[in-house]
Amino acid sequence: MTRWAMVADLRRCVGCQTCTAACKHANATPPGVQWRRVLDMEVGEYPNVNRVFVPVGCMHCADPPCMHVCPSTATRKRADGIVTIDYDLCIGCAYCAVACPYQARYKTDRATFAYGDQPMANEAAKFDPGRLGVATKCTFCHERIDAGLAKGLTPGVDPEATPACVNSCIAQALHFGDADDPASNVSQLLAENQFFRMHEELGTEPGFYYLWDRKEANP
Amino acid sequence: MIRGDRTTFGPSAWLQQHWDARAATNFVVGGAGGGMLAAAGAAVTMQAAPAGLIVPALVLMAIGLTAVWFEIGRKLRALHVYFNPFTSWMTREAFVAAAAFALGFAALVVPAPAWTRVLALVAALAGVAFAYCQARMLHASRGIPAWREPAIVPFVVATDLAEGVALAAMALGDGARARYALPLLVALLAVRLATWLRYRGRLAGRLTRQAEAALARAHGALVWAGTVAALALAGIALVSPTGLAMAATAAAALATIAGGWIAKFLIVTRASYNQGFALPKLPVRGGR
Repeated sequence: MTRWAMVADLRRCVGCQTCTAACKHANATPPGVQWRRVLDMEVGEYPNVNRVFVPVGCMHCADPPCMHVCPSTATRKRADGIVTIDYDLCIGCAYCAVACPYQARYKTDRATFAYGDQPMANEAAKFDPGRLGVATKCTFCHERIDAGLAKGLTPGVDPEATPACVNSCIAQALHFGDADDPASNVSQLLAENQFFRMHEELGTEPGFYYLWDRKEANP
Repeated sequence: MIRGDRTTFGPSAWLQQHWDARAATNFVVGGAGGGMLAAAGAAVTMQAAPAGLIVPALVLMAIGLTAVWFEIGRKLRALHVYFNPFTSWMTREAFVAAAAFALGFAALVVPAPAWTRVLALVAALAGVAFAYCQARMLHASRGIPAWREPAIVPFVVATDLAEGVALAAMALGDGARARYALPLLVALLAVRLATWLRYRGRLAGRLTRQAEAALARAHGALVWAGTVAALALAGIALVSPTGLAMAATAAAALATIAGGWIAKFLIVTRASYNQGFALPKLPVRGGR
């Protein structure tokens, strides 16, 4: 089986928001909607203060609460773990949005663009009226993954088959790959480093891992 | 490297903006309608009330569902709500509502009194199921700590039933018959208070300060107006002559409804903070 997963190395992320911009460009999300965003957390008290940059978005959970509550079956989970939304089925009730513990879902009722009434070229090219009045979220750029796989490419390795945010990361903090393949890039990272998943106590089994330290060497 | 004594680190939670007063109306008014359908259906079955008592219950449920319809983004696709009965409590609520309307309408028009009583009984069960579905809808919202607490389920069902009995008692108008409902109302108020205290107790210290404040306001309305005042007025109604009893019954019912409605509205629109983000570990940067 394949389980597409994302890994964010918190030691490497510098909070540049290039992934945020790349996602907005690739998916033409409207103002206020950030399928990929990076939190800027400040931790500690003066003088011992630390900043941590944390990429967040849809965690593509193995047990997604959004899918269970969806009354229209618009939200589904593919066999490869990617959680999708069928914009033609969604009624825009936003039940999924309050069920998501990661605040990953958005709903916009009217078309807005980054600079006034006229869309930029990428916004015009990607504008989809079907995304109005319904829930939207990160797709893991599954159309890139699917198209890449059809060409024999490897998602997470070949940029053409890899999510836009991962491609754009200037610090190689974001990684994408098959967590079920022991030889994949993400499996190697998870084997060599200590990691956690966001709000793991809720039992959603996110497909998004955060590296925070290397594993201790065997004594 | 900072290694504070906190186990998690993260930005503050914020109030969800997806479900506003329109969604809250479904829980506040629609839920009371479900409770009233249960009370009215039972009263009709026991021949203690005319079948017409079912009508205002269905109207309240319809108001709640209409309010939700105004909130959804794709109104012409509203019937898609029926597509996921396997896991979605919203779908189940919609099915139960449809059944309740069909049963209630049938109870009103069927010519045989025996059938009216049977249909009213099943409609009463649908009213309880409607309240239960709404409670489970909140519980299934794992993004909102004040909603996902399991103790919210018995509280919402209890307050819907208490409000329903209060509404039925008011609608009956007849002091002698309404007085029959008072012992049931008193019992439901006690259950509602117990479930509320359990709900609050289990959430103590686990919510944001703002969510705690919203629940504290709900507590004031539910305990003082919705319970203490309602019980006192119900007591007066039970020992008073008919004229005063009618007024006291109506006042007790209003206090019951006000407490429940304020509490539900605050839970849906003011206590609904998400949990933000949290890091159980901080990144270890540089060499060690």
